[in-house]
Amino acid sequence: MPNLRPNLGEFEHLVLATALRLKGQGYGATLVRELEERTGRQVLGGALYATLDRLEAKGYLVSRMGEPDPVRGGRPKRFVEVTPAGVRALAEQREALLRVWEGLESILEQA
Amino acid sequence: MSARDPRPPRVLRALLDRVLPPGPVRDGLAGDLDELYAERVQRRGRVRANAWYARQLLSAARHYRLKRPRSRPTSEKRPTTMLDSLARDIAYALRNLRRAPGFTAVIVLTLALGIGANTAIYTLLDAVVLRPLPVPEPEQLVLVTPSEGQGWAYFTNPLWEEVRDRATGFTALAAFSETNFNTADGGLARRVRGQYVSGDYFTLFGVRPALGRLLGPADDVRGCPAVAVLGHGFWQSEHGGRVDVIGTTIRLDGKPFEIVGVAAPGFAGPEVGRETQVYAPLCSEAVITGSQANLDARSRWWMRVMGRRDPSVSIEQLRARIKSIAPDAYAATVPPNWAAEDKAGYLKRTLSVFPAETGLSDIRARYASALGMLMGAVALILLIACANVANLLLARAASRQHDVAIRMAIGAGRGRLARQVLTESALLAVLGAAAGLLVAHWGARGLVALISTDSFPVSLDLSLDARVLGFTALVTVVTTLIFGLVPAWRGTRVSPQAAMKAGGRGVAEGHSRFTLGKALVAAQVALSLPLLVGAGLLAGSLRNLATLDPGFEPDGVLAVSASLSRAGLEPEARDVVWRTVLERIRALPGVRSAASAYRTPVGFGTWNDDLYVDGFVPASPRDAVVWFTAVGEGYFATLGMRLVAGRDFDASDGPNGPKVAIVSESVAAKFFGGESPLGRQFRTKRGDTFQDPVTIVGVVEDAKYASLREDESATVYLPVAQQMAGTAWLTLVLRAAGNPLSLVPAVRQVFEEVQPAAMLEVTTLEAQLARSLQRERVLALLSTLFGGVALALTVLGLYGVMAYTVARRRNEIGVRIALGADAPRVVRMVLRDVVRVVVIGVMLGAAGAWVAGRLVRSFLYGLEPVEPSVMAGAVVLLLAAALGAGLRPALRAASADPVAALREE
Repeated sequence: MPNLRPNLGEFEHLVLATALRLKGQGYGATLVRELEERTGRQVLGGALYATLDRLEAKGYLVSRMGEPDPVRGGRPKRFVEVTPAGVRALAEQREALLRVWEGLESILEQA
Repeated sequence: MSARDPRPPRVLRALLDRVLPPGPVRDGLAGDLDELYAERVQRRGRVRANAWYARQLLSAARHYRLKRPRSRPTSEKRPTTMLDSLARDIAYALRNLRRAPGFTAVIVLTLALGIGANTAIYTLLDAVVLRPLPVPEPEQLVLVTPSEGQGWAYFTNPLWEEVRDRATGFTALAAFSETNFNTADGGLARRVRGQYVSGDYFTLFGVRPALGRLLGPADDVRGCPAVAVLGHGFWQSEHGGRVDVIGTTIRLDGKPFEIVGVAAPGFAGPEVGRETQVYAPLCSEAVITGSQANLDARSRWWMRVMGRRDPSVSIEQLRARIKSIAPDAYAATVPPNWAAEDKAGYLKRTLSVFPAETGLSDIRARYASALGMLMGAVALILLIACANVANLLLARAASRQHDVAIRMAIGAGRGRLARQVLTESALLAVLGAAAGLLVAHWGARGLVALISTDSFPVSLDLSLDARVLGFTALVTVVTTLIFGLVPAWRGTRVSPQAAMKAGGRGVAEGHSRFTLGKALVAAQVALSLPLLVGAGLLAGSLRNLATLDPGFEPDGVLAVSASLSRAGLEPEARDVVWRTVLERIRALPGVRSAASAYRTPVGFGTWNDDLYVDGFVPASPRDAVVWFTAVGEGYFATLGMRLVAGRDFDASDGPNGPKVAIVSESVAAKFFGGESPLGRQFRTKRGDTFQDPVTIVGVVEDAKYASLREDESATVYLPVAQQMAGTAWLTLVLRAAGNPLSLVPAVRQVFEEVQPAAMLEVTTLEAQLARSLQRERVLALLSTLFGGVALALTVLGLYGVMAYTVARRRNEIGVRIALGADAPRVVRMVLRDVVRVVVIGVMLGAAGAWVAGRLVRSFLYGLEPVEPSVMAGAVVLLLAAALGAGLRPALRAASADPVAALREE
């Protein structure tokens, strides 16, 4: 059994997966939209950015600043891209979750 | 997305910038939130988007500020000077106020009302009571009085001449007498406010001519020519400021006077509120009356004397000096026809001087205490307004705890935040004061219009001078301190963590505690109570006076005062004119009856005298004094007065017939002790000499004589034919079938045909009575107005507090409803709170109401200062208004959805 390091928090997991989906073209606003659409809950920018910072510190993603954008009040976008370590972490987390859920789906369906 | 997309509120954006660390995080997140905000505005509207953005801001603050050690704002952003920081505070406060226009408007209007009313009353008080005369060195002016006190200040011309020639210690001394000149050439009178003045008058007040020359000692000699000086205002309004007015003629009571000059603007007479329009020399009084009699009369007191104190002489020295000349001055002017006893008293009289820096004033005498009272009333209103504003600011401070929390979280100190709140309060006070000045401007003018009458037009300098502005500024500063400090202190007393909890419910007031807001409302109730009680007392007194039976029926009576002085007729010829005119007026269609009289009731020209009746011993010298008047045949019928016994005057009561009189019921009761006075006689005295006995032929019911307030109306009526034979002036009273004023053209026509030189003044008796109650009406109106404003402000405050409390208690009430409390029970619970606030306020205000009653005591009629019914009425009114205000919040509480409330819990 591989050593599972479930060191992604729930929100970190959601953010990292969404960044992966956006294939390096994701930035704050698109992440918020995508997350809100898929989870149906409101996402707070402060929490998102703090999470991005944390993920970056863990080496799971890198960010780069775009050109200053006049329609954003002259502010650049912060694009994020998931690193191979990030992809690996997601995969491990998924694996762990699937194992935990093994055999439980039928109960859920009955409920 | 375009550059014109909606942007988040600037202040929130700026806050976000300060919350986030500079660099990628700030740039990225701020940009993202801008982008998402624009989207959200389109989907959900601006209000929701703003709320969303604020939540975003809080979240950013939580993640990026609260976790690291608190630090001061970055140095390049920190204000460098006090002024700089003040400017920031003001700009921030302005933005805040603009963002809440409703809140700002209510506060500014409330303050405008409070400050405006105060400034209006103070402007009037200043103009009437406080401001010195507009003359050089007004502090040197003194009023000379022919007695120890200031109450009586009138001189006879001979006494004035003695004083003028003997007095020392003055640099100038002058006498003057106010009079109304008629400038019409016949027909209806045109009154201008005139003044007879002595030679030094213009020197005394330091007046310069605007045109021509002023009057000097050379004009002030017996037999002087008829010359006149115009007041500046009159010259402007009447002659359009034309310079060729010099040398032309103005008619004063029908006599031609040559205009020799115009006085410079500014000073318009020592009588504050009365603008002199025409000045004539004292000696020209003889020109108008056609005799020197008044100038020589030793018992006609018609002029006042003012002087300018020599600066080297103190007022005490001056008083001693003038006192020392008194014996000689009085000895030289003893009235020859007085009784010996009175002559002895005359010789003992003295002279005195009093500072007269602020001039003299009849309206001051009539209105000073009323103005003082109104000043107290508006001060209370200002306090009530402040309490209201404080309450509004408190509620706002509570709703802004998040904002404050953020600011504290990002490192603002309490002092800094308190300063910001104070700045906002000060700004509101300034805006309120500015609006208040407008209110004051119109209010003061409205007040002057209220106290002006046709016969006494009041003209006051109501320009807002430094004093008024200073007063407003003072009120404003005090106001700011009062209502700014409390919210500043409370608003910054939050812990950021507590305030940031969802909805801020963690810091809600609990249950029905007696909160600061309620205490303020209780204070408002306490302050309103004296105002309402005062209003009730004054309005009740007015009603008592207005509905009082004056003893005659004023409706439908026209009074025509006519003068034949210009006609140049012999006395016999005048009587013919009066007879003819009266006959023709009686024949006019629409005239039910008409009669002649010396005066009209509750009008001018009072006349009293001692009545001597055999067998009546007066209890005191005053006891035998009764009112006198002269009336013609049909007078009682015309005024609707009932003859109780005997007969009316008739043609037999002529100048050569036996002397007769009709007395009022109270004369009959007092002097004849219940027996019938018919056929009995009384006498009067001239000096020491008894006049011929007069036989009483009738008794008439009592009627008010001098004023509606008088207690004693004992009056003796003498026949005009016997008392006023050959008179040059007379009042005619007409009872009209319809509107009495519609008779005026016909009456004029009669005079025009009989004697075109006659001059007329007309009024209705109803209007005359209304004028006599003018001060009462003004006070009742203003006190009711102020009481209403106080009530409205208090109700507003109560409503605000209850609505706020109910909103805060929504969850608790939801739980109660969920546990089975029905709607009436919830309504009762909220209203019980209201009643508690009112009861506490009433208990606190009772003492104030008692004081208010004492203060208005002298204005009351038929009411006691402590009138239980008025007190109860005020309390019931307050309670009813309060319950009305509390009902809406109570109903809202009762309709709270327990499920929704609980879900949020």
